[in-house]
Amino acid sequence: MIILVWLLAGIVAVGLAFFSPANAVDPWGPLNTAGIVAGIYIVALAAYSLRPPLSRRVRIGGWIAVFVVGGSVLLAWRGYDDQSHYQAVTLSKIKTVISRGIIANELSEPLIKTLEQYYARPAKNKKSIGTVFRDRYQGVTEGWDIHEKYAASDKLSVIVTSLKDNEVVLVAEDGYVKGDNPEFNNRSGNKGMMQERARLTERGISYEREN
Amino acid sequence: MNGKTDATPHRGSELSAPFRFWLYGLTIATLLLVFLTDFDTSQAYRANQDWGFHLALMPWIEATRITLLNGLDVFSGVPLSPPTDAQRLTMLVGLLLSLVVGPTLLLLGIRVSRQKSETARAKSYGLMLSLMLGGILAYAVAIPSIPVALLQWRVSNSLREAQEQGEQRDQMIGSVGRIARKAREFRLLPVSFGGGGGSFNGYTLSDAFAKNEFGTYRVESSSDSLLVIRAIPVSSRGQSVVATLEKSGALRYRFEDTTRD
Repeated sequence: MIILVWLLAGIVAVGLAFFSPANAVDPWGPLNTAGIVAGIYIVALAAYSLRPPLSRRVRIGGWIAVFVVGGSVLLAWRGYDDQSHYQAVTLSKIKTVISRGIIANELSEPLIKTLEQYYARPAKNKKSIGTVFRDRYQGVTEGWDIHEKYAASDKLSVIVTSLKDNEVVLVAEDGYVKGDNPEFNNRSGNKGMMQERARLTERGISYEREN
Repeated sequence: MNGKTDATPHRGSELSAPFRFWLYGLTIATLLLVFLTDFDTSQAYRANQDWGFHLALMPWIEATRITLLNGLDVFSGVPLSPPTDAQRLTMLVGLLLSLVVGPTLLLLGIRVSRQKSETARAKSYGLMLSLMLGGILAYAVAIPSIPVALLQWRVSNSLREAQEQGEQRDQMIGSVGRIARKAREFRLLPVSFGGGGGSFNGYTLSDAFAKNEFGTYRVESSSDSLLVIRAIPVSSRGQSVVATLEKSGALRYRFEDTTRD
């Protein structure tokens, strides 16, 4: 009977603690809360169980086992918690580095190619920077997205924000990856996403990391 | 030696009837579990599918799995969502079995058992079950936890060191990519605009490109059609990255380590 009472009390207490942080995305919140309650429960259970008439030897052995196993579980638990979060953050950092590289490449490649064609023509037949860019992207106007999507999940956009004879300005935004400032207002209406700008003139290309 | 005892035929087992009952019962249940359960979850893992409810006596491992899946979702651009009901149930049941049911059955089982007489103890199937189940659950949690706790920090530190090196390498490759883009631009621009007029010769790195928190960078050699850049990590002990840029824009990397042949 006493075993059932303890079981019921423990299951209710730990269960309630587990479900108290409702709808947490991180599984560790509810698990840690429930783990603390479970730890208190085990100490109370050990204090109740390991007392006379149990012999002194059994009581000491019991407490040692509770502390050794409890301590090991605590260390393993904290280690997994810490390590898993570190790994998740590392993945996020890798994603940021990759996305910066992709944005830089998708911004620079059309402009470098345009610059190359611009200077490839002899001076007497030279077309303007804007004309060369228009020749490369038939029908392009300001506001066009010149990025060719690799897949449906590709949320990168490279928008032509200025197209004049002497200048081309592109703004690239990754719709999935956060930039440096979470409050940054992106050109697309998004908030806090990675965004970079590049401006091409006959003197070269200037890059600006906007977020 | 007692001649009378030796002469008496041994009709029963030395183990008590309740003990034998639970021993046989648990053995059969374990064998059924082993042969009838599909433990091959690797396919589901590869496909990144939800495992559904499963028994996990160490719920922190399940939480780790969910955290890493969340990390992969962030990596893939998938919006995060709270754990599924099956994942929550897996963690909760594991937590209850390992930290509530197991210790309760074991500790109270020991206490009640010591309070009973030997005869009453032998006849109590419930008490025997309590001790056995409690013992199995406590062992299942205790045995792996102790070595994991001892090794955890060493493994964690070495993993972090490896990941920091990987991150440093990725950042340096990104920096070399930026240098390469500026070098291509330099080659295209006429000399009157500070360019190379069709050559990489004369390209130098600005201070912003020559050094950052991850390493230092320098132009190793240049010609009309090739530029060689060497990147040396901050923590380098003879290791470096050599990038060769062609006029077409193709960029090739080579890793050098002077400490190895």
